[in-house]
Amino acid sequence: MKKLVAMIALLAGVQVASAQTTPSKTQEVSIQTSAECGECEIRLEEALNYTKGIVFAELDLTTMKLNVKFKPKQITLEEIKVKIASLGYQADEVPADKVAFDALPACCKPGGMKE
Amino acid sequence: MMKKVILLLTFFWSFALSAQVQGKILRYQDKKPIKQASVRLASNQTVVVVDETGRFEISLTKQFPDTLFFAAKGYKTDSLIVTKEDRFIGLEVLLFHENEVDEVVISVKRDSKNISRLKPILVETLGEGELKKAACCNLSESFETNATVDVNLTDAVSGAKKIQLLGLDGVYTQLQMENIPFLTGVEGSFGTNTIPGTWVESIQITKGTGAVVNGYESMAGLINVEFRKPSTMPKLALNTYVNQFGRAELNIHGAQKINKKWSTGSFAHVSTLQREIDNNGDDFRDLPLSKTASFLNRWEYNGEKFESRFGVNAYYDEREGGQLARITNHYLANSTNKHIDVFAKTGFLFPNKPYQSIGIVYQLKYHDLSGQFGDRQFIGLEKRAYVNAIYDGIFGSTTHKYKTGFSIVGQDLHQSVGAVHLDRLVYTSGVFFEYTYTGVRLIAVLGARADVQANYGNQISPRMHLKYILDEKTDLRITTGKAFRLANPIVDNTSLLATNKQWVLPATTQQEVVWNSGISLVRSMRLWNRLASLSADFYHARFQNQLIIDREKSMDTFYFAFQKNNTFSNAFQFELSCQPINLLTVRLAYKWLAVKALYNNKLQQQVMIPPHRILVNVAYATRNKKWEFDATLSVFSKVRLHDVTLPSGEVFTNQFGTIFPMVLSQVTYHFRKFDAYIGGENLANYRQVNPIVSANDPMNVQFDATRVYAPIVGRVVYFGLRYELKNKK
Repeated sequence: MKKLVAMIALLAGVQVASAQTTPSKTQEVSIQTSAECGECEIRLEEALNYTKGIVFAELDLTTMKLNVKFKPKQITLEEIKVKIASLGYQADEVPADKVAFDALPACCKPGGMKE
Repeated sequence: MMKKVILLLTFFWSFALSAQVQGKILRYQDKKPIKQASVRLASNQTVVVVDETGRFEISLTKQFPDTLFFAAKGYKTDSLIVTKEDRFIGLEVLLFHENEVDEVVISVKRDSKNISRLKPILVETLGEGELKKAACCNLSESFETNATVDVNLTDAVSGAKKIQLLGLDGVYTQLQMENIPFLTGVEGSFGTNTIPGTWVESIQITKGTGAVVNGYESMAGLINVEFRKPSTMPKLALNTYVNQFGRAELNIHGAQKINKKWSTGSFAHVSTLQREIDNNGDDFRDLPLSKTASFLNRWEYNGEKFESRFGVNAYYDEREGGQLARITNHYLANSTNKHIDVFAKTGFLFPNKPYQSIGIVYQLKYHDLSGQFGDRQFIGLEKRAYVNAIYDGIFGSTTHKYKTGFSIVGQDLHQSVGAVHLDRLVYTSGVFFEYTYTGVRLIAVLGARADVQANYGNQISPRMHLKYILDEKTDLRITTGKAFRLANPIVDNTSLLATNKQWVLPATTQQEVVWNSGISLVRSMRLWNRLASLSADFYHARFQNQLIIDREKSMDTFYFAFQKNNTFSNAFQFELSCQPINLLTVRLAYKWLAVKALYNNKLQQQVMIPPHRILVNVAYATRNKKWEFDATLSVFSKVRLHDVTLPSGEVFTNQFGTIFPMVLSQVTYHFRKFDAYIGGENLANYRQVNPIVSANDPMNVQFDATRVYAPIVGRVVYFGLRYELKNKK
C-alpha cells in the first residue's frame, strides 16, 4: 500500500511541479476578443498556450473574452494582445491583423455565426 | 420535418453508423427544456429540432472541426465547435433569455465515456479520450479503465487475456467491427490481443441481446468497435511504446483522400518482446516472448445513392510462453495465429425517401491457429463466409419503423487437440424482422429472428427493448431476448490445456442457448453545479443449455458437459460519474457478479469469478490543456479456486484467492507537435504467489497453470510518443 501511495504521489508530483508559480509572479487578465466560434477557440487557445510566458489561455465563447494567466517578466499584456491580433482577432483596443483575418474560416469572421 | 427524418434514419440505419452528437437544450435560469429549439450543423446546414424534453441528436459529417449552432426564439443563439475528438459526445446546452446579462457562462460538459440517453438500448460508448487512458496496447487491454468489461489472464503460461461481460466468458459476447462480425470462432481466445488500440476510434458496449439485425450470437452482450475512418483520420499518425521489460511497439496509420467520394486508409502494427522475464523465480516466463504484425487497408466511397466500405485485414501473431530456454527439455506454451479476412459493406440510399435504405455486409475469413501446451498440440482452422442484408422502411410515418432482412453464415471449422478431432461444416441461415415504435415517452423495439442451423437445430429468437422516460433526467430501460451459438469445445478453451489433467469432451457439439434480461436506470443530474450521471443496471442471463467445464469433479480430469436449464449469471452494476472540482472527473463503479453452474453436482460460483469489484477512475487536465493525468484503481474480491493436489501429496481444497488491487496510471504531456506519455500498470505491484502448481516439474500429473486469478507480472512502467499530422482544414 505504501508503494501505491508513493507511486501516485510520484505521478502527481509532476503536476505539482508544473503548477508551481507564485501568485505575485503571474497576472490574470480578461481580454475582449472578436472570436465567436469553436474553431476560433481552438486557434486562439492552441497558439497562446504554447507561447512562452503564458500559463493558460481559456476562451469563453459566450462573452468572447479570453482569460489569460501570464508571467509579466516574460511577456507583457501588450505583447499578448499583439499576438491575438496577429491571429486575426481583435484584442481589446488592438485591431485584428488584416491578412490573418482574411485567412480565417468563414465562421470565425464577425457575423459568421448568424448565417 | 424531412430533416428530422433524415436524422432519425441515419441514427437507426446501422450501416451509416457515423459520428453523432447528442444532448439537451435547456433554459439557463431553471434548466427546463426549451421547446422549438433547433440545432444546426455548419458544414452541411442540417437542422434538427429538439424533442419535447429538449433532446436532440445530430449526425456529423466528415469535416472537422465543425460548428453546432443552438437557437430558439426569444433566446440568444449560441454555438459550439465539435472536433474530431468530440464525436459521440453528450452535451448539455444552456441558452440564455434575450434579456439576460452577458456574464453568464455556457455550461458544456464533454465526457470521453458516456452512456447514450436517446437510444432504446443502453449503449456505453468509450471514445478516443477513454481509449488513450491506457496507452497499451491492444483491444482487450483497452477495457482496463472500464468496469463493465473484465479482462483476465486465461492461464499462467500463455499470456493470453480474455474479456468477460456479465461475468460470462468472452466467447458469449458478440464482437463486431463496424457491424461486421469479427474475432469470431477460432479467434475467440486470442483475437482481442491482435487488434492494436491505436486503430480504434470508439467502442460501443451493449449488455444483453441487442438488436436482431446484428445476428444471433450476442448472448452476454455486443461490443462494436469502430476503427478510424479514412475520410476523417489524420494523414499520418505514429505511436511508439516501450516498457521496462523491453516490449516494443510501433503503430503507423495514415489516410489519403483521393477525391470527394473516395478515400483510403492503411494501418500497420508491429510489436515484440524478446527478453525472458521471470520475476517470481518459478523458471516460467512471466510473459511469453512474442512477435506480432497486423495490417489493415480500407476504402471508403460516399456517393449520393450509394455508399461502400471495404478492405482487408491480416495478422500474424506468435507467442512462446512456458519454461525458460535454459531449462533442458523445457515446457512449451506456444501459439501461432495467421489470419486474413476481406470485408465489404454497401448501402443503397434513396435520396427522395430518406427513411428507406438497403444495406449489405459481406465477409470472408481464413484463420489458422496452432499451438501446444507441453506435449499437447492443438489446431483450429476456420474458413468463414458471411452475408447480412438489411432493409429499412417505415409504416406510414417515422413513428413506426421497421427493419427486415436475412443472413447466411457458412463455417468450415476444424479443431483438434492431440488425436481428437471435431470437424464441422455448418450453414446458418436466418431471417429477421424488427419493429420500432417511437412515442413521446416510450420507445419500443420488438424483434425476432428465425435461424436454421443444419444438424444442430432451428431457433426462433424473440427480443424486446423498451425505453421509458420517467422524467426529463431519468430513463428506464428494460430488455429481454434470446440468443444462441454453436459451442467450440476445443478452440474456446485452449488455455485449459495448460495442465496435465485429462479432458473429457462431450459426445456431441450442441448449441448454447440463453435468455438474457435486464433492467437499467440512467439519471443525469448536477453535483457541485456540474453535470454528473448515475446509472444502475441488473442483468439475468439464464442458459437453456451451456457448455460447462467442471474442474472440480475430479482432481485429475476436466469434465466438459452441457448443462440444461440450471446455469445462470446475475450481474448488478452501479456507476457514478461527477466533477467535484473543475477539470477533475471522478468515476466510481461497483459490480456484483453471481455466475453459477453445477460444479461437482453442486450449484456454485464459477471459479476465478470475483463476486465484487470496485473501480475508481480519476482524470484531471490542466487549464492550459497541456497536462493530462489519469489513474484507475480496481479492487477485486476473493475468487473461488478449484481443488488441487500438490506433487508432495498435500491437497488444497475449498481455497479462495485474496482480495487484490490493480492500479493503472498515465500522465500525458501535449507538446505542440506531438504527445508524450508515461504510465504504469499494476502499480500496486500485486502478484499472485505460486500461480503454477508443480512449476518445478511440468511433467508431473498434478501440473496446473490454469489456477490463475491475479497478475503474474508485477509493476510495468511504460513510455511512448504519439504524433499526428493533421489534415489541412
